[in-house]
Amino acid sequence: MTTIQFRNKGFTESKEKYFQAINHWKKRINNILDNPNNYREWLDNTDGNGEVSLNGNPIYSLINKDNSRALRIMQNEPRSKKPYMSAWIENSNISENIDIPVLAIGLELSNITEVKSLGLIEMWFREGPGSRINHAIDLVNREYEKNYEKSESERKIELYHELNELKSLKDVNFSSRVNLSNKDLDRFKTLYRIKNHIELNCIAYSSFRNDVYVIQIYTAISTLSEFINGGYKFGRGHITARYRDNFTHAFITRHKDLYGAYLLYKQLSDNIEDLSEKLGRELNIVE
Amino acid sequence: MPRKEAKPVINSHRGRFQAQGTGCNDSEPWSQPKPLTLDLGNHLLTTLSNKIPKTEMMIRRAGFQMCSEEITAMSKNGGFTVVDKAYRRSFPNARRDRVDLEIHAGTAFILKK
Repeated sequence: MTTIQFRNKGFTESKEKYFQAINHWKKRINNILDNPNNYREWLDNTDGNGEVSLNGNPIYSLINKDNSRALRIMQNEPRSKKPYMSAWIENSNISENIDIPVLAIGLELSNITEVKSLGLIEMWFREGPGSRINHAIDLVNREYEKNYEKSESERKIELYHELNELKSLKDVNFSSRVNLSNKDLDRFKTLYRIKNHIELNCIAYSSFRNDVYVIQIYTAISTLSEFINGGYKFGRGHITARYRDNFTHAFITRHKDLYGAYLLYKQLSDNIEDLSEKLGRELNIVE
Repeated sequence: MPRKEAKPVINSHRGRFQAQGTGCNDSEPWSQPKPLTLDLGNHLLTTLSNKIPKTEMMIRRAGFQMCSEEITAMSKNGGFTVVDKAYRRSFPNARRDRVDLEIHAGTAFILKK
């Protein structure tokens, strides 16, 4: 098994490292091009003042002399345990009414994603658009889909943890029994059993407008103490009738709206794939 | 007196916002004779965010936010002018489900005088 080695770690920290990263791409790509003189960089990566933006967006770009196809590489600092990579073909406007096809690659750079991206780039500039490159892109995307979505989910969850509301609500003590229908209860238990708080964060993310309610769900569950006669009894302290109503309402609403959660389950872990399929069937969600 | 012919209007300031990815492919372009103002840029971005399905918007929420921050930063530098290289960025960086900003020609995101 090949060990994953991240490359150009910390490239956004200083200009020096950033230019090293650009040169890294330049060298690698020049090695696979038939005639590097037939290509030029075509995308600007400066801010309005002419200073280079150290964000890898893009880290490197190329266009061939006849302007028939181009390349755009976006690189992120490694944040995942496994690097992700995705690729697609897009159109970019180079002059009025002229769009050219561009191979776009987004990645966290490792020894493995580097080799895969260079393979795509070589094929792109040699053969151009067509079924072969589409197939190669599909293969890469399928392989990295899970890493990509998992890393997205992790990032979203991190964002939730950063919310001030969440931090302050964590200090709230809940003490109440929330009565739920058996069906909701079963779903709730399933969710809770699989990934503990993570599902609840996912539900939180699936809710677009009622963040606070959902955060209450998270908080309430994290202080879960015992389960009595079809209801949950939460920790010590007090809860107002309004909180209780809000909580129950939010909980039921969220369970009626499991689609978002379902989509996110799929992204979270390989282990819960079976369950998401089951939930999908239950909710009549056809992929 | 010979009639004066109207000067042709040259839309030398062009670009587009795009919501791209697996689930949508929508855009809000601009093409006009004067540089695009930040206000109008923000308006186009909001229009785009309202145009796409809610689930797609949810996925790109951070992207819209980042794009809005980027154009605001550009406006503080007096806007962005395309000189010899094109401008294209994705928000979030390197993600397939994203918001793209392209400035094809001219200047964009100046502050209203």
